[in-house]
Amino acid sequence: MNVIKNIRIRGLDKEWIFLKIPLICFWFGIFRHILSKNYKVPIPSGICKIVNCANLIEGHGLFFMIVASSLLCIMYLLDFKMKWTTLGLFSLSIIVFTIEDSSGILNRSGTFSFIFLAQSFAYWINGSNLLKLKYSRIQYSIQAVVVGYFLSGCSKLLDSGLSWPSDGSRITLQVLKSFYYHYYTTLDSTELVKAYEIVQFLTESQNILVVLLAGSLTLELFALTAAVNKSYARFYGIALLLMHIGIYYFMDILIVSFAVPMVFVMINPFYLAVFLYDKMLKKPTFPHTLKSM
Amino acid sequence: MGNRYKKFLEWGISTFGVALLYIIGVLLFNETHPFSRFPMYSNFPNWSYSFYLTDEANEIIPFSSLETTGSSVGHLYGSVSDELNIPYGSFRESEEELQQIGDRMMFVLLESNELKYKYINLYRKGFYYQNDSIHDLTVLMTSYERH
Repeated sequence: MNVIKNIRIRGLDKEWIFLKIPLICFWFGIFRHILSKNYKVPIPSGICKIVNCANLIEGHGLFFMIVASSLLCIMYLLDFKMKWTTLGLFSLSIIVFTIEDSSGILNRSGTFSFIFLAQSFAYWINGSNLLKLKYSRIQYSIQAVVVGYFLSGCSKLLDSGLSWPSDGSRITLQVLKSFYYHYYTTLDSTELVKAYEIVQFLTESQNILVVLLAGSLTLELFALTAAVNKSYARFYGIALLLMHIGIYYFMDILIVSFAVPMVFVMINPFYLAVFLYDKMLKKPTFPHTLKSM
Repeated sequence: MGNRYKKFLEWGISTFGVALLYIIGVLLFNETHPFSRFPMYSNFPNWSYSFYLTDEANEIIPFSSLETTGSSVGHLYGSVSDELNIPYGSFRESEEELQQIGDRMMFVLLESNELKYKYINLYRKGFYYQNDSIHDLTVLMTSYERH
């Protein structure tokens, strides 16, 4: 029994390592990017209404943010004092994303911050049970991601009702807007050519559009089911990734701080690649971790 | 029976508890980071806006030269309108309101970016459906001159 438990723990450890390394590297990249933007917090929102966030992105405040985030990232990679490390990352994440929101850019990166709080819950609640902890820090992260998709689906139902997919013909206005956004950013006129091609395609293919929108609404509404089983979460993650690719192709929109953590947490591509590579070599590695526990 | 119910409850809490906490957070704090109900494209109104800048020769200035993007400026329009308590959308904004929003947008944009141009116009280009075809309407929101 203990042998099986140890094998499971080893597998979960590998899965965790392949999840946390890309996740924290990506988070740190976004964190530094926001700090480098020289935002001035002109429209305070959230925590920036209470704390003067402008002090945190210049002078000593900026130095503190960079040192604290670097230290926390190293501690996170080393699995050191994780109860507090994940809480610290959550706090810094809230501050820096709120600074971005307070500059008028509502990127809705809440899921990304919440992943660290979810992982903190796993350490605080299951700290005394090793197997439970190693399972829950991944499973809670999946919950943090899928709840965003579920709420997005609920918003569509609340704002438009069940007719949301069939009302989708006017999505072409949003398509034009998005492609014009890109055109006005770079002045690359191919963006406009593509925009009008897609608008024409969508106008002529109303049935396909309804099916695509109905599919994405269904996917969002049932997203919480991905929290039940980890192997199911991986397939669900691939379906959500296809949805994001579709949105990117048709609307030129990629919500990076939403889609990328989803890929790392739900698909865990680096772990999957190693798993498939080992399987190709017929090496008995950690197939058990793909099964529900 | 009681034991089975307890086990089911435990399973429910461990499987969906974190998600439930987030939903409670959204109900309590609404659209406050990290909470959001992610309402992007939850409806498809008969309007959409994009924005652009031009210089004194009325040539378009790419947003990349201001280290921003068209999408960020689009977000900024909504945030500034909310801040100024001006309802927006469906081309309902008056000329005065557009000027107010535009002035504030220019202030925010130029606050974090060095201005390389002497003169800047901010335009809003809007799209809407009329008689089953897409039309567009461009209006000058505001002009800025460096002194």
